[in-house]
This record gives sequence, C-alpha cells and structure tokens, in this order.
Amino acid sequence: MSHDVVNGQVGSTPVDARVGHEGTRIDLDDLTKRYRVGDVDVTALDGINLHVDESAFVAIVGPSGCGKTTLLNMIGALDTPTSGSVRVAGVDVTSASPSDRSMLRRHSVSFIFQTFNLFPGLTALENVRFGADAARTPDPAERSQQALTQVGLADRQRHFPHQLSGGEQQRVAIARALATGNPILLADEPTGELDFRTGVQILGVLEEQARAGMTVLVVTHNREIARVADRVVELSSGRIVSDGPPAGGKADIGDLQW
Amino acid sequence: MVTTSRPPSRWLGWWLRWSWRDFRSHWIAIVAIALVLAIGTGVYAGLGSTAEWRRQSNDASFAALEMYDLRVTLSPGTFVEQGQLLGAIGSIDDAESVRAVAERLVVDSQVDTQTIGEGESVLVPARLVGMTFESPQPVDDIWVRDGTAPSADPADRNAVLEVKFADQHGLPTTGTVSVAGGRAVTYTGLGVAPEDFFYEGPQGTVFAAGELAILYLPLAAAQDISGHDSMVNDAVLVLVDDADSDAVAAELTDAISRLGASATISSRADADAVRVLYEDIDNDQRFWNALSALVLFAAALAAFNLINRIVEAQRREIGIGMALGVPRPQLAIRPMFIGVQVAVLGTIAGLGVGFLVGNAFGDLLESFLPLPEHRTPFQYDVYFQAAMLGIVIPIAASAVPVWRALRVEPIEAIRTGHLAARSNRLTGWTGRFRLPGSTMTQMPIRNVLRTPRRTAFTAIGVGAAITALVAVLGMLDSFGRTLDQGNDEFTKGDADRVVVQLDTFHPAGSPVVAAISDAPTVGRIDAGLRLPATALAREPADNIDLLVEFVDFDNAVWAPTVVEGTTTISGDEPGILLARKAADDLGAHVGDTVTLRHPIRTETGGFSITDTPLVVAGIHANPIRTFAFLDLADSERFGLEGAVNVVQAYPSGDATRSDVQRAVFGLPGVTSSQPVARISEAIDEALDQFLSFLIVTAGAVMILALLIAFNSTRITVEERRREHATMRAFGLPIRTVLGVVVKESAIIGVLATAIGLVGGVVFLQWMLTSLATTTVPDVGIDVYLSPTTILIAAIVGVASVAATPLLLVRRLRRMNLPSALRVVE
Repeated sequence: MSHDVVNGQVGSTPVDARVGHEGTRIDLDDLTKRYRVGDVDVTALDGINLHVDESAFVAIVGPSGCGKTTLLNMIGALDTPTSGSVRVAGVDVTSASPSDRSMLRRHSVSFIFQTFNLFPGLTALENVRFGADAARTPDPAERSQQALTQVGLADRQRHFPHQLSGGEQQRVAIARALATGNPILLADEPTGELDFRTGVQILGVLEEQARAGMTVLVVTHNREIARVADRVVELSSGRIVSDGPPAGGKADIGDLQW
Repeated sequence: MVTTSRPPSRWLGWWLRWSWRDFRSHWIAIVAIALVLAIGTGVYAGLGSTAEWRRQSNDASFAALEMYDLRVTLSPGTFVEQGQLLGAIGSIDDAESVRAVAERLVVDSQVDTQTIGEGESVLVPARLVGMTFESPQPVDDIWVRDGTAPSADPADRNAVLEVKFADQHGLPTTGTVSVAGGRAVTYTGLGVAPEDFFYEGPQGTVFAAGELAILYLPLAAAQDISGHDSMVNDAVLVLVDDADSDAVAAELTDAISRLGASATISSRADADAVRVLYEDIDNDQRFWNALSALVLFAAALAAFNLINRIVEAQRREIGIGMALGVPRPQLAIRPMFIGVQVAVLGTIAGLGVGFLVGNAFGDLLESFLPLPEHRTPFQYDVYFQAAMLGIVIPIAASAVPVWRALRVEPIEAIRTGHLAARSNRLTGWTGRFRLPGSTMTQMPIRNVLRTPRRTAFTAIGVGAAITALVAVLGMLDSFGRTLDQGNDEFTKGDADRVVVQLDTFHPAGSPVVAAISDAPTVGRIDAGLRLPATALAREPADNIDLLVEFVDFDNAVWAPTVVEGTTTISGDEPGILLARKAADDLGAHVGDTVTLRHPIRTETGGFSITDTPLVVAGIHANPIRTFAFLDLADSERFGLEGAVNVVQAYPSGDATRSDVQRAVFGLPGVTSSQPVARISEAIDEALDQFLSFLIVTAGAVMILALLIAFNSTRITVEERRREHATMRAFGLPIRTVLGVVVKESAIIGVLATAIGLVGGVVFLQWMLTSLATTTVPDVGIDVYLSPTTILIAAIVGVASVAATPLLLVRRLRRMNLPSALRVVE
C-alpha cells in the first residue's frame, strides 16, 4: 500500500506575508524517526509521506504509541527526523538551524498542548499576549484582547490559570495560539483533559479557525473528534494506514458523542 | 483465589533501585548540597577545635620545657652569692618536695640589633637571663626553634635570642647584638623559655613582642656582662607531684629572709604566660563559636531548603502511589533516601573539609604562637556535634514534604497543576499592574511573587550565607579601619617621630634631656611624661590599665586628636582624655568623673599609690583604650612637676628616624628609642593571628555562598522546565528564555543580598559589642563595612545567583522539548 495520499481540498485562504507564499503548506517526504531506548531501537515514524497544501482541519488519529505526537513534533520543528524531509511553510526543517526552527515556530506554527501549558504567573490576557509578543505581532495588546474575546473569555482576562476551569484554560491556550497570527495551528490532544461538553466547545473554536483560513492539525485518539475534520490521517505503528475524508462524511459538531 | 505477595526484601530492593536512579538524575544537586553541609560542618569543626588545640599545645609545651612550679625573685637591686639561693632552698623542711632547682641571674639591659635585621636597627629594652644549660635541663628549659643553644660548658658565651622578638623584627637565626655598656653578645639560636611564651612590655602594654629583647645566656656570661660576677637574684624550682606548693613557698620566704634578703615567691599560675595563654582560650573560643555557628546555620538552612524542593517535586508520584494503595511508610522510603544520600555524602565530605580547615587553622596557630609543642588533633567530638546536624537536617528536609504529600487526598496530589501556585494577594495585586514592556518583562517578578514561601526560603537560604560572609568580611573591615585609625593617630604630624624612653624621671632641663636635644640629627624634641595607672571601675575586675601620657597640648608638635569634648575643663581643673572604649567600659561620658589609681611621688622622692578623681574632659581618636592623656601642666598633681621620662624626638633636615634612634641610643638615661610607627605595627602584628583566622573563614564562607547560590538557581531552572519549553515551543530564542531566568534569579539575588547585608551588620554589631570585648578588650572597634565588602556581597548574592542560569545554557539548548512540554507539576 502506497503511503502517498491525495491532499484534501479546502477554499483558498489569505497567506500571512511574514511567512512567504507557502504560508500553510506542509510536506513530509519519506519521514522516519527512530529513538534508541537502552539497547532497543524504536521506530516512531516509518517512511511517512504527507502533504497539506491548503488551509484545512486535519485530524491525525491512531492508538497510543502509533506516532501521532511525534509526527506533530516534526511538523512543529520541535524535533528532527532520522531520515526523510520535513518542509513547513517553505522552510526545510530537516536542514534548518536551531534558530531557523525557532523562527518557524515564531512566525508559522503555533501549539496547543493537552496540559494547556499556561504560565501560572500571568493572567489569562497576559498568557494570550505572550503569544503575540513571541511572534512580535504589531499591536500585541489589541491583538490579544481580540483573541481572548474570540474564544469567549474577555470577562476572565484578569484571572490566573488556577482560577480557570480546564476548558477555560484550554480556550486561553487557543487564544494564545491565535494571537500569534500564525497560519498553522498544531493541537496535541486538545480535549484530552476535558469533559465532553467542554471538549466540544474547544473543537468548535478550532473548526472556526480552520474555516477562517488556518491549517489546523489535531492529534487525537478519539475517533469521534475526527468526524468533524475535513481530512483524517490514520497512523498505526508509525505508518499512515489511511488518509482521506472522515468515514461517513464530515459531521457537525452537534452530532458528536463520546 | 490465589494471591501472591513479594517478600519485604524484594520491596526494599525495588525502592533502593528507584532511589539509586533518583541519585543518578539528581547527583549534581545532591553532591552540591552535601558540599554545602560539609563546609558548614567542617568550618564548625575547625573553628570549634581551636580551644582544645590551644589547651593541649599549652599543656604539652609547658610540660616539655619543665616550667617551674615556683619562682624565687629577689627584690629589685638585690643579689646574693651564687649558691646561696640553692643552699637556702635546700635548707627548708620540705626540701624533699623540690625535684629540681636552678639559680639564675635576671637583669634589665638594652639591646641594639644594629643592622643585622632586614629593616631598621632595633634599639629596645632588654632582659638578660643568665642560666645553666644542661642536657637534659631539669627546670625551665629553653625551646630552641632555630639554631642551637649554648653548650653546658661554662666558658660558652653564646646566647639564645627570644624568638618572637626576632620574628617581629625579621632578625636572622644567628647574629650579634650590643647590650648596654657596648658589650657584644653573639646569639646562635632563636628560642624561648616557658614563662616568656607571653609577656607584657616594659610599659605595661600587651602588644609587647617587639618591645623587649630577651637573651638567654650562660650564667657566667650574664654575670660578666652585667657586672654582677658570681651573683644571682633568681631561682626556679620544680616540685614533686604531691608537694604542697603553698607550704613550700612559705618556707622559702623564711629561708630567703634568713639570707638577709627579701623575695617574691610566685607560682606557675602567677606567670603572665600561663594566665593569659589559658584565659584567652575561652574568651577567644566564644567568639569563634558564634561565627562558626552562624556558618553552620547558613549551611543547614540552605541545605534544608534545597532538599525540600527536590523532594517536593516527587509529591505527585507519592500521590499516585497512595492512589494505587501503596502503604504510606513504603512511599516515604524513596524521597527520604534523598535525604539519606545527602546526609551520608555530607558527613563524609565534612570530615574532609574539617581536616582541610583544621589544618589551615592549625598552621596559623603554629605560625603566630611559637611553641615547642603544637597539638592539633582532629576533634571528633566537635565534629560529631556538627555532623549530627548534618545528618538530621537532610532527613528532616526530606520528611517535611513527604509528610505534606501524605496528608492530602491522592486525587489532589495527582491532579495536574497541584503544585502550581495558588492565589495569593501578591500575585493578585501585581495582576492589576503591568511593568512597561512585553509579557517576558512581567514574568520574572510574577514568578517570584507567585510562590512567596519558596521565594522567601530561597532568598533566606542564600541570604544566610551572605550574612555569614558579610559578618566575617565586616569583621576584617572593622578591625582594619580601627587599626588604620590608630595608625593615623600615632603617626599624624610627623610619622618619623621617635619615642625616647628615659630610665627614670628627670627634670625637664636636665643634662639627660639636653643631650637628646643636642644629639646630631635631632631637630626638635617635646618632653613629656608617661605613667602607668589604673582607671577604677565599679567592679574591680573591670578596672582598666592605662598608660597616661602628659602632653603639652599648647606647644607640642604631636597632641592627641580630640573627637569629643576638649583638653581642659572649666575652672582649670585637670581633665583627662580617654579613648572611647575606655569611657564606654567605665560607663563615663564627657564631664563625668573617673578615679585614677596611680603612683605619686612623695616628698622623700619615693612613690606611693593614690587615687585621684579626674573629670573626663574629652575623648581622643585612638581606638586603643590603654592610652589616656593629661596636660603636662597638670603633672604637679602627681608630684611630678617639671619632671619628664619620655621625649618625642623629631629628625632634623634630611635625617631619618633610624639616624635619630642611633643618635640617642646609648646616651645616659635612655632605655629605648622606637619609631612611633612601631607601636601601631606591633598592634597590627598582635591582631594578625585573629585576622588570619577570619580570612580563612571568609574563604570557606565565600565558597559556601556561591555553592548555595548556584544550587538554588539550578533547582529553580529545573522546576520551570515546562515553562521554558513552552517559551521555546513558541519560538522564543534561548537568549530570551535565559533573560527571563536571569532576571528572576537576579530578583531573588537582590532579596538575598539585602537579607545578608542587614543580617550581617546585625550579627557583626552583636559580635563586636558583646564578644569582641572579651577577645580583644583593649581595642574599641566600630562596625564598618567597606565598599569592597558590599560589592563582594552584591557579587555573590546578585551576580552569582543571576549568572548561574548562564552556566545552564547548554542544558537549556539540549533540552528535549517534547519531553519537557509534557512535564506535569
């Protein structure tokens, strides 16, 4: 079975000039990642070929240990492959220097983590503004205010993370990612720590960003979540076993149940 | 249902393996904390051992030289035929109590070292001790440190020069000196008799090592040189172990009186050397104990805080264990082992540090107090005291967070962010205000404030070490400034002033004084008086020995600087100028009356002792309380109108002070001539031992402070791993992340430095006002911190704490971001 797949089709999206003409494009060619654990070589990714060239909502699914998070880390330039190539927003991550990879994360890619990773000493608004400051966006104050409003937490801006619920914290994390203005959003199990209702809310926000022109990649083990994606890439033992629209067609968020 | 359970030994082995992995992942921190404790315990052991070393060294030295039990000293000017004292001693009823006895001739003289030394000639009073040199010496042997002693041959004319005098003046092991009368004496070695391990100077000053030259000569040579052929005036005795020394002393008095002479019978305990060397030990040790306790406290506090934080990070895992039903005592094993690891390593390293510090202090003791026997055995009991703390602290530091972890419900401990900051007023307040700039500017202060207890403990831990550092360096500063003040006061006006001591009181216009004035190279003289006196305190034990100098305040080139009050008081009553220290010790202020006990010349020309009330007219600038001043015009109240016994001689033209010394030495009536600068040099040298100890301690404390600062910051960086990884995930360059860390560390460093400076000054003040008064009672020392000390405190407290993250750049650069992003607090 070939690992090459056909890209999904999504409407065109304005590209942020800071990242060049390939603002949302992701190209993984024969990507392999191996780790040495003691005396054993572990192959986390094995010859992955994946291309995302337009804004879309892509779900990456698979069982625990299949390499989903490793794949996300490669795309986000948090890690480098053993072999193959990774190209994101026109930057060859494989051969890029550490400072170039930092630059990529600053101007092209933003993260949302399962454990939120907010800064406990900053308020909600300040956490969001961190994203704007890191990306050196113009008018970071206004931008962060907008992003926080966008996720519906303008009235909680002065609260510290420990004063927010899990869902609110994750929404702040999303706002932080939005405040960067980066065209690619990588979310690693964004609903993993949340209850169903809150998880659905978060998915709604992510879907909204995809419709607005961002490329949103969500790693999840929850196949229900994959139903609202435009494209589902399934991994197993480090390999892509399927890549295409969700089985049974794209669902509405209101139809989800888990 | 079949159940199986592991035997306890396998469980223990499992926990031990896990603990070993903990050690491997935290080994730098554990070793560093162990070193912190080791320095604290080692310095405590080293400083705490000095008392016992000195006691043992004193005991061994006095015993090795068979110091006398009783000494017979004939009245000044009285001599008897050689052998008569032996006969008198042998005639007492308790003669069998006398194990050994030797006759001696002890006479005062003067010494001129000419140019055999490295510096200027030394022209000082001397003491010639004529004695027998036998092998072995039955009583009062001479310890010869360098060179050789005279042989037992009565024809041997060589001498041994007292070693401290020689060291003070840089004299060689052998040489020739001139004594009064122009006689040359060759000395072939440097050594000391046991009663001269310590002595007061001719003017009653305690800083006397350079002021008196003692020559130990064969008896015949001393008799010949002094012109007392076949005469003796002194005898030393060693008694058998069960002798009644008081009874023997009484019999000796009678026996001597039968010779038609009077004598003073003194015991070993009466000797200045014995009294001072043993008395000083306890006074000094109190001082060192306070300092070493501070260092140990700083180390213990820092270690407690650091271990606490390492173990605190395991609280979530403890919670997981509780949730899985692991018995609580078993859960405590792993974190407690961190404390055990630190305790074991700290105890072993402490032994090593204790040996090193002890060796350093032992070497200092040896260099400053030349004794034949130096005992510096490792004091295991002192080390044990500190080691107990070094064992208890790490275990307690591990126990506290374990106890806290076991107290909470497992679900609370497992919950993500359980250890994240809770709300507190500080963060709530700061949330309303922003510093100008980006969120990276807000982070350092917010991180510091969101964990106020941790911040406080960290700042206090580092601050305690800086307190110790400031206290030690401040002590050096305070002593240094005091010595400088004294030196400035002594040498103001003309630093080449030579102090010429006369043999007795002479009229101001006498030929003796005229000869000095007319001596070549002498430009001008100011004649005055010096009189030993005692200022009476409320309690006799607090009386202060003074050297009262009568100065012509109106005309003399040199007069004391008055810092408070004046030189005279209203009504032309005599007013005395006291040192601030003397006034404080007497509880007197300007205008109060103090009573001076002093000799007064009678109409018959002799002296009697009287008490004279005097008003304190003012306070002079010299920090040494021994010195007091009266106007020369007031000498009539002491029966000394028109009399002088000291002359300040100033060089003329291009003449030097050495020229003046040589010109006046040997003149009739002159007993010594010393540059005035020599007095402050003698004081400097007397305090050198004390200051050297402080320097060694400062070195150890500096290392301690840096270790604590490094370790605290390292742990803080470790605790914030996930935040740093998040910043990196958002594309911030390492230098920006480092900048946040450095600023946060700097804030804690500033807090720690402030705590250290305040604590150090408070401790220093306490040391100088309470302990130093018994250790160095004659010197008034004010608290002073030099700019250098403040800078060092800032460098250690702020710069080193802030700079520590820079040492961790490689660690930050090599951080596995994906793993760090998943760290759960």
